[in-house]
Amino acid sequence: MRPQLVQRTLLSLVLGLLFLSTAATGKCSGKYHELLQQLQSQADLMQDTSTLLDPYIHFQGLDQAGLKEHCKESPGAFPSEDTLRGLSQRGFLRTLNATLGHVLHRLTALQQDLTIAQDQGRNIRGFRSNIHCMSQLLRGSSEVETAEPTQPGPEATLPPTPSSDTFQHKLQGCRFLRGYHRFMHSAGQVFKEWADSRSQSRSRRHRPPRALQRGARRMRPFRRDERLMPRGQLPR
Amino acid sequence: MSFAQTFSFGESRDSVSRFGTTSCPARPHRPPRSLGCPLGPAGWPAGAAARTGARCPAGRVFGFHFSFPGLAHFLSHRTAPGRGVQGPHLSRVPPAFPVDPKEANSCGSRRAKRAQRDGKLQKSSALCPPPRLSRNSRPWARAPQLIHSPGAGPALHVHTRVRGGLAPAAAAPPKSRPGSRSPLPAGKPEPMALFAVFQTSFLLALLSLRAYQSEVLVEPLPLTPESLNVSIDSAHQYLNLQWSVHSLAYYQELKMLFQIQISRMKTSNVIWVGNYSTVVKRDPVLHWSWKSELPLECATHFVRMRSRVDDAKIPEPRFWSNWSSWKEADAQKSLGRDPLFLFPKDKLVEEGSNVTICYMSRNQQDNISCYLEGQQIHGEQLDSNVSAFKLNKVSFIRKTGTNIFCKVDQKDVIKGIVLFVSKVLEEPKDFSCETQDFKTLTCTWDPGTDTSLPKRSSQSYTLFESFSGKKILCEHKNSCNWQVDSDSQEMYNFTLVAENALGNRSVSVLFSLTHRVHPKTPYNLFLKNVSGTKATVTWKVHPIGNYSTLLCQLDLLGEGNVIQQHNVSIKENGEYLLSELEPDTEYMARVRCADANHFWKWSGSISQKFITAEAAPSEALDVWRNVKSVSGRPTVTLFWKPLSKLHANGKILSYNVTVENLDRLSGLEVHSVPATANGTELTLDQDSYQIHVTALNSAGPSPASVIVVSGDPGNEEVEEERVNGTEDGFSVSWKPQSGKAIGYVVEWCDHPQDLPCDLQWKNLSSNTTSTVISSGAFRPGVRYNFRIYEISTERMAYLLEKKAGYLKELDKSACCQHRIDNPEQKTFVMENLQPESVYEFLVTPYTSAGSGPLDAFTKVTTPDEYSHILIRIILPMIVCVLLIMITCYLKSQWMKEKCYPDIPDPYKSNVLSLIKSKENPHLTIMNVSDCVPDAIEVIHKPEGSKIQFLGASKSLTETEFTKPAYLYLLPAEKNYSGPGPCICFENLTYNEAAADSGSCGHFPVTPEALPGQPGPLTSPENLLKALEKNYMNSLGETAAGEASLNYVSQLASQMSGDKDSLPANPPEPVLCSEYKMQMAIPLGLASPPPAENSGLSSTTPLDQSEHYR
Repeated sequence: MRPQLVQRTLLSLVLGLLFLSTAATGKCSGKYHELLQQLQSQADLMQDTSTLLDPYIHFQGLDQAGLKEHCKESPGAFPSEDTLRGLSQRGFLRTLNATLGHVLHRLTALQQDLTIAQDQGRNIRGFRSNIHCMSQLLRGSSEVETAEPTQPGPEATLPPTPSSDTFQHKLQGCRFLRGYHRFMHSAGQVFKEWADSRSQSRSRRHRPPRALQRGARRMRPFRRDERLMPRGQLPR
Repeated sequence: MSFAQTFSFGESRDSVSRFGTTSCPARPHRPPRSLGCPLGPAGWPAGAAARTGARCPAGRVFGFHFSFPGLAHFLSHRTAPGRGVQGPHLSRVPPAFPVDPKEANSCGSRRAKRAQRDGKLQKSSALCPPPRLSRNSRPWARAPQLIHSPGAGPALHVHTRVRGGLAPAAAAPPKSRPGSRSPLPAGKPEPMALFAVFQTSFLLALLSLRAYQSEVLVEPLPLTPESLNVSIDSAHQYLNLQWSVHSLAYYQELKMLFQIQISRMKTSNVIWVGNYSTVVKRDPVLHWSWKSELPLECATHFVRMRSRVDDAKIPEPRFWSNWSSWKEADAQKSLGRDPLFLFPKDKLVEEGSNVTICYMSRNQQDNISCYLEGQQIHGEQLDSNVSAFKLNKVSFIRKTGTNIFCKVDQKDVIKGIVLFVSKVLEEPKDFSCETQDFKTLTCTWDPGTDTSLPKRSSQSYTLFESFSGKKILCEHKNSCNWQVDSDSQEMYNFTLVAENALGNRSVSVLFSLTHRVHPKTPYNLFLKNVSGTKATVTWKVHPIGNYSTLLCQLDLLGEGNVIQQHNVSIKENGEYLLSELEPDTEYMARVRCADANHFWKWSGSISQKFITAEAAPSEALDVWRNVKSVSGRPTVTLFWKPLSKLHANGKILSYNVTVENLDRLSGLEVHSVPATANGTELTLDQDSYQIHVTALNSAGPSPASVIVVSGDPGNEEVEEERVNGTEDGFSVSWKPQSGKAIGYVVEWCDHPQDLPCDLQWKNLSSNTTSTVISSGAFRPGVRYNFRIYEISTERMAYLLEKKAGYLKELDKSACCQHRIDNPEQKTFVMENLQPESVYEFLVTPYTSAGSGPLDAFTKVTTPDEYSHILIRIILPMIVCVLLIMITCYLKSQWMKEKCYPDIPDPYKSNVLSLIKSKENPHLTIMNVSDCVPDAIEVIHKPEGSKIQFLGASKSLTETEFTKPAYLYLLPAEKNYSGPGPCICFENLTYNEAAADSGSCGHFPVTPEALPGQPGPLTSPENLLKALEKNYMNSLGETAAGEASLNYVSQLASQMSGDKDSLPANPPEPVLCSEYKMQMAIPLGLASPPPAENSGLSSTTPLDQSEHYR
C-alpha cells in the first residue's frame, strides 16, 4: 500500500512538473532582454501613425484643411509620458495593459470604419501577450507583492461610446488614434529607459550617470522592483 | 353631472323638428329602422315622407324636457372665447339661407332612440338646437354635431328645422289636428286653459328666442380641426401634425379636406400652403406630416389648418371652417448651450439630390465660416444667427460620408455634419427565374450599383409572386430561391423589389414554369469501345419531372474545334456511337442538355477526352534515291519523307527496307531502319534491285513504296539547260521521252554549296511536264541545279533533263560580277568594298559559249575601315615622340644648360672674393635689414602678369596684402643718403634657404652681360657700370643722381619645386636667363617696413611671375 502511494505521488509530481514546464515554455519567454526588445519593437511599430491614424484620416475624409488641426489628442485621454515614467515597472505594465484593453475595445468599434484596425488589433493582442509575460517575469522575481493602483487610463477619460453625431464621432476617433500613437510612443520611451538603465546599471556601480540619477529619482518604484529581481532570472 | 351632459341640443333639435312637423320619424336616416319614413338622397328623410309622417308614432312628440341652463350652455358655447374665431364665420352666413322643407323632418331619430334607451332623452329634448355647439364628449350628445359636421350642409338643416319650428302648423300640430285627442282634461277648463295659455305663451316665447337664435345660427357648421398638435421628427426632418375632428354620428365616414398653412420664423411668413384630403371615420385622430427642406432645428415653424367637407353626400355649397390657432414647433429650445449648431446631422440622401443645410450660432458676433470637403461655402442668412446653404446635386464622394463643417473664427469651435450620399438605387437587370427540378425556382438578376453605406442598412430585395400572393425576402443581392409548392401552379408572375432607405425599384417577369427549365449538368460521361475510328459515348442526366424529355447535344472536338455535333433525345441515360474518327487521335466528347419541349437554356457541359486506337499507316512513303559509285560499287542512298500524322495513324516504330535482286534469285534482304532516320544507304552491285520501303507502327506496316535501282547509272550526258527563277520559285519543264513513264521526279539541292547538299525531290504524275519548284531555302545569287527523272513502268528512274539557274541574279554593276577579259590575268582587285563585311567570291571561266560550272564560293571578311587610318596616323606620331624623347635624353645636359642652368650660390661667387679684395664697403652682400625700402607694393597677381613698379610716392598703406602677396621694395627716395647702389636678385626657388641665411646680395648686373658672362664680374668698375646702364635703361625717368638700384628678378624655371604655383604666362626673359647673384627673403621678413637706417638695399620676395626691369 505504501509503495503504491509513493509511486502515485512521484507520478503526480513528474506530470505536474512536465505540465508546468510545458506551460512555461509554450507561453512566455523567460528571457528579460528578449521580451524587452520585443516590447520595444512592438511599441515602435504601434506608434507609427501610418499604421492606423493616417489611413483612418484618409478613409474618413478628414485630410482636409481646417479639419486636420482638430485631430489633436484629447488631454488626459491617455496617460502622459511623465505619468508612465513615474510608475513602477509592474505598475507601468498594468497601466499599459489596461489602456490597451480599452484601445482594443475602441478599435473593435472602429473596425466597421477601418479594416486595418483589425490588423492593429492583432498587434495589440500580441503586445499585451508580451506585457503579460513581462509581468509574469517581474512577478516571479518579486519577493514582495506590492499592490499599486493602476494609473487612470482611457477608461476614465476616453469617451466610452461614440457620439451619435457622426462628424463628432469621426473627430473623436481621430483624436483617439492620435492619442493612442502618442501613448505607444511614450510607452516605447519607457521601455527604452528600461533597457538603458539595465545596461547602464552594470556600469554605474561606480558612478551612475547624471541623467540616470534623475530618472532614478522619478522611478523609485521601478528601482524597488528592480532590486527584487532574482539574479539568476533577470539581468542586472 | 354638467348640464351639457344632461341636456343635449341635438336632442332638443329633434324635438323641435318633431314639434314642427308632428310626425318625425324615429330613425329618419336608416330605412330599416325608419318605420316607413323614406330617406332623402343622403340618408336624410325625404321631404315628402316627412310631411306624411302620420304613420310615425306621435307619443314621443311632446316627450321633452327643457331647462334654461341648457340654453345658457348652448349660448355659452356660441360665445365661448375659444371659439371666437367662429364669429366672423357666422357673420359671413347669408341671411336668406335657402330653406329646404323636406329636411325639416330630419330629426335624429337614432339619437332619440339612443336617448330613449338612456331614459333621458324624452325628458330633456324640448328643442332641436344646433348640435355642432355641443362639446359633450358623450356620443349621444355629439351625434347631432356629426350630422352637421360637413359644414354648409348641416347648417342648412338647422336653418330649415328652425324655420319649420316657427311655422304655425308646427306650433301646435297635435292640437289642431282633427280627431286627435287633447292631452288636457276636458272637465277643468280654467286651469287647463291657463296652463294651455301659459304653455302656449311659453312656447311662443321660446320659439321667438329660438327664431332669434336661428338668425344667429344661420351659418354653416364646419368642423374646425381640434387638438392640433405639432411635433418634430429631427431624424427625417418632418413636422408631424396630429388633430382630431368630431366624431361622425350619421356617417361611417366622410371625406374631408384640410387646408394647412406652415410659417417659418413668424406666423406671417407663410412658406407653405397645401390641402390634405382624407376620409374621416368615426372618432378620428388624423395625422399628417410635412417634410421640411430647411432643417427644422434652424427655425421655428408655425402650423394652422382649417377643414371643409368634401364629400358627395353633402350637397353644395361647402364652406371652410375657421382656421385653427397657430401651433409652434420649435426645436431650438432643446439644443443646449453650444455656441454653434449645424444641421441636419447624418442625413442620408441619394446622389444627385439637393440638400439644404443650416447653422445656428448662439452669438451673433461670431464670424462663422463653413466648408464642404475643405472648400468654403457661402450661404444665405435667414436670420441674424441662422444661415442656410443649399447644395445642389450632391455627388457621392466616399462611403463614410461627405464632411461639412463650420468654424467660429478666432475660436477653437468646430461643428460639422456628415452627409451620407448614397448611390442611386438601380432597377435590377436581367431578372429571370428558372428551375432545375420543378421544386425550386431560382431567380437571378444583376443588382447594379451597390448603394450600401457603412452603418446603414443595405439595399434589400423582395420577391413577390402575385398569383399565390406570397412574398419572400431574398438572402442574396443577386439571387433568390422560390420553393415550388406543387404542380398546380403553372404560371408565375414575379415582382422583384429592390429597396433601400431612400426608395425602391421593381421589375416583374411573367412566365410558365415549364418554359423555364434549366436542366442540371449531365454526369457520368464515359467512352467505351474506342477503336481507331469509332467510339461509344454514354452519359446520364438528372430527371426532370416524370414526363420530361431532354435534348442533349453531343459535340466531338478535335484540337479544340467541333468536328461532329449530334443531338440525342433521352429521358435519363444517353448513348451515342461516334464514327469516322481518325486513328491515334485525341478527341473530346462534350455533352449538354436542355428541355426538349421548351428550350430555355442549355445545362452545364460535361466533357471527356479520349484517344482512338492506332491503325496501320495509310499511305506509302515518298522515297527517292541517290546512286553513286563508291570504290567501284554502286551505293544507293535511300531517302524518304516522314509520313504525316494523318497518314501515320500512330507512332512510327521503324522502317523496313526490303531489297530484292531482280537479276538473280537471291532472296529478300530486309533492313530495319529506326523511326528517327529518314533514309539509309545500301551498297549493291551492278544488278538491278527492287527496293520496298514501308513504315511500321503498332498496328502494322504502311503500303510499300517501290523503287528500282540499277548499277548502271544510265545516261548522265544530258545537256544542262538554263532555268530562270521567279518569285514563286523555279519553273521547270521537260519533254517526255518514252511515253511510258508512270511519273517524274525533279531533284535538286536546297543548299548546293554544302555537303550534304540537302537533297530534295518532288514526285510528279506521268501527265505532268512542268512544275514550279519552290523552297524556302532558295537564295538569290545561288546557282541551283535541277535534274528531272522519268520513272519507268519498272519503277526505274532515268535522267531526263538537267536545269540550272538562279532564283535571282544579283546586279552586276553593283559588285557581283566582273568580267576578266585577259585569260592570263590571275589576280583581280576588288575595290570599294564595305569594311567589316562578308563577301563571297567565285571565279569561273567562260568561253564564247558561256560560263563554266560554278564552284563553291570563298568567303572573305573585310577588316575595319578605321584601323588603317589609325595606323597611318598613330604610328608616325609614336615614332616622332620616341625620337624626340631619345634626343632629349641624349642632349639632356645641353638642354639643361640652355634652358635651366644651375643658379650659382652668391656666397660662392667670385665677386665676393673680388669685393673682399678691393674692400669696398659699398659693395657687399647685405642683409635684409640693410635694404631700406621706400615703398612697398603688394600685388595680387595670380595670372602672373607683369607688374609695374610704382612710383616712390606709393606708400605701404595704400597697398593690400592678398594671397599671394608680394612685397616690393623700391629704390630709395631721391633724398636717400644711404649706402651706395644696392642690387637685389632674388629667386623664390631659394626663398627658404635665403631666408635662413638672412642675406641679400647686392650686385649690379646688366642683363646683357648675364648670358655671356656666367662667371662673376671681374671688377667693381665693370659691375658698377653694368648696374648703372641697366638701371638707366630700365628706369629711364630715374634721375641720374639716384645711385641706388634695385633689381628684382627671378628665375622662373618650370623645374622649380613649386610647380603648382607657376604662372600661366611665364615671362619670356626667364627662360634661358642666367643669374649671377640672387637673394631671397621670406615673407615674414619683408612684411614689416624696414627702418630707415636699416640699410640701403631693399629686398622683396617675388612670385614666380616676372618682375623684371
